[in-house]
Amino acid sequence: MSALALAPSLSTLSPHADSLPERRLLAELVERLRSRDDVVIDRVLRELVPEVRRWMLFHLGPRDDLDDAAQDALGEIAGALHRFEGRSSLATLARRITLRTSFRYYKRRREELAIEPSGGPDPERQVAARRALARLHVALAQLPERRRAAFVLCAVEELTPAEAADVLGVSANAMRSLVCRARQDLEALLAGDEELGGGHE
Amino acid sequence: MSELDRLLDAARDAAPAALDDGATDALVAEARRRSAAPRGAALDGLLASAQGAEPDALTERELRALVQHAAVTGGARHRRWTLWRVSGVAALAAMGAAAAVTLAVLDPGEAPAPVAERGASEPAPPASPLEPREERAPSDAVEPTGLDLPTGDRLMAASGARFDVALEEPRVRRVRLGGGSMLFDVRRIERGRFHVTTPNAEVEVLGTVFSVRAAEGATTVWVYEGAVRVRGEGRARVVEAGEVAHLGAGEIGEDALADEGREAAAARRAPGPIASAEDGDEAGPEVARREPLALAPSPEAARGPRGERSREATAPEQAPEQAPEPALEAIPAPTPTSARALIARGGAADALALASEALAQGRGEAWRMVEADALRALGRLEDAAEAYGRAAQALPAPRRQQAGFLEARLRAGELGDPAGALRALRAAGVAAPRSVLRERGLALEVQLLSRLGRREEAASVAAEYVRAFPDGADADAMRAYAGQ
Repeated sequence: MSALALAPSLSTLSPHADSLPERRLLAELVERLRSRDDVVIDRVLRELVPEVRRWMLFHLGPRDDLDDAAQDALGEIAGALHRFEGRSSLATLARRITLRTSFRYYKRRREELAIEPSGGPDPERQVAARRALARLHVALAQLPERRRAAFVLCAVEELTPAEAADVLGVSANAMRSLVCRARQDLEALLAGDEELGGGHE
Repeated sequence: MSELDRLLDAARDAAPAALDDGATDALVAEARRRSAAPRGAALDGLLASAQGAEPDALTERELRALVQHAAVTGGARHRRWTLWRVSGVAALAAMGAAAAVTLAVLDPGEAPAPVAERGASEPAPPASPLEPREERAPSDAVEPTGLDLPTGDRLMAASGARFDVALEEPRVRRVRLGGGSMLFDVRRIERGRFHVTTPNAEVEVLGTVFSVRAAEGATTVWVYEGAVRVRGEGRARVVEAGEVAHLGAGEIGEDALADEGREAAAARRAPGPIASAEDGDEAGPEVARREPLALAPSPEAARGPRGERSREATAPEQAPEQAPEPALEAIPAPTPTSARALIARGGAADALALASEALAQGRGEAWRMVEADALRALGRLEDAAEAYGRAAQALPAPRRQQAGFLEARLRAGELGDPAGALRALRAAGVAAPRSVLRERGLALEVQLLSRLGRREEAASVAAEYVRAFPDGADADAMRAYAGQ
């Protein structure tokens, strides 16, 4: 695997990087994935597992089939690796597939997940964060699919409009418009939420 | 009117200080901002909190299971995609062979085995002759590396051979030999074909044993079994067992893989999957002979026609004695190759047991690589690294270098032990002048030295790399390390 073995991250290698070595690494990565280099595939998947699970959590909210969705997405990602051409980063490819998978799952009937403290370093904060995410998704569920996805990509995952546009397959301006409308919709929906401090108008 | 009433009257006449337009606008704007704030603040507060949400942490076992599941389903998808693509080749022949289809289809550790297991089933890429980058004169070819394809074909590359394998449509395999010498023991597949292309010739065969050397603009083909059709320089003809075809300038010289060719031809006469293939008359339709190619009789085999006669004619004198007796056992004993196939099918634990038993019984050091591969497939990476280290000590070249390289890569990567990786690399002589993995060994050594902060040594090794491989895959990076 030569230089790839020492690269800190494979999924974030970008064809748009200023650094020539990084672009060379990406070219080697593409070659290795096309030739089904198992060591590289294993490393890429291991790198993507936590990311895909986190993205899936953001796009679906806390629910009991989250890991099923992540697993489906990872399977699709693994099946697409040999076709990766390096036109964008692997992370972008993985985000696209994760998003597409989340669309399928969003349409399914969801079971509410009891939010309980997890074994992380700050369980109370995690409970609060997941409750906030669950509440946000109550409002997000009322938005059109693309508007909802745009908002999650830009506002929750904090991608730039250009990055998010690349994932969703729209122009950057269209992405800004989607996010703006989503925000307006959400503000209106949350305005009457006394618990959140809304309803002051 | 009481005092209080007078006070109140006066108070009602009080007025605030007058405001100018600017002050009024500012007050209005602030009022609007405050009235709007609760909506936006609610969303922003929710977002700020939600962004901290994390999925439950995974254990290493759960992570591995997820990765393996992804690899299995991904492999299945890949295969479906491959089938779809291959089936579409007739209509999309112009698209050529898919590089992605290529090696994956011909990879002995074919999907859908879990990633780690597939990785272990087939020695890692640098150990595979599929992508050798090192190029040396054929006379240096003293350590041929073998590769068994799942189609039953056996390829053997002399050190320095540069080639790749492609599947262009069902049953058609194509090997592009950029330089160096290779031996091909090709199994006949019904209506299948096997092509070898060099810069100035194409060799087509359906079932035979032959070797090809491509060097200095010339191509030489030695046929040990069956027949092949050679095209090049506007000519084409069938070359039969015992003949040598030479295209281009220079002398024919000796076949660096002659011994292996004779052995393979002899082995085909013995019972077994390859020997059982009928091959004699499978050289394809005769082509109109134009000008004959330069031909020279092979010194070790008498000329003979194709088919049965050619097998008899081309086999070396001692071949019948070397051929094993027909196997009568219903259950063949496990071999390292079958154990690797077991790993590829998900039976790493069983393969490890077979390897342990074989090693305990002293049935061959080749089992050491199986042991290491199985351990790696099982995720026992530290044990796998140690097993590769033992294999490197016990096996001769080029297996020693393969094992050393695999140990070094494990230690450099997953185990995070660059110092141990460097020790393994050097102990196995991976970067030694005659090693088949010299180029990659040097590149890895440079990176390890750099990682260990030994910049001067890294620069020195990088300079060695540039001298030996000025056009190598990592030459630019090595020049940077060398300060050139």
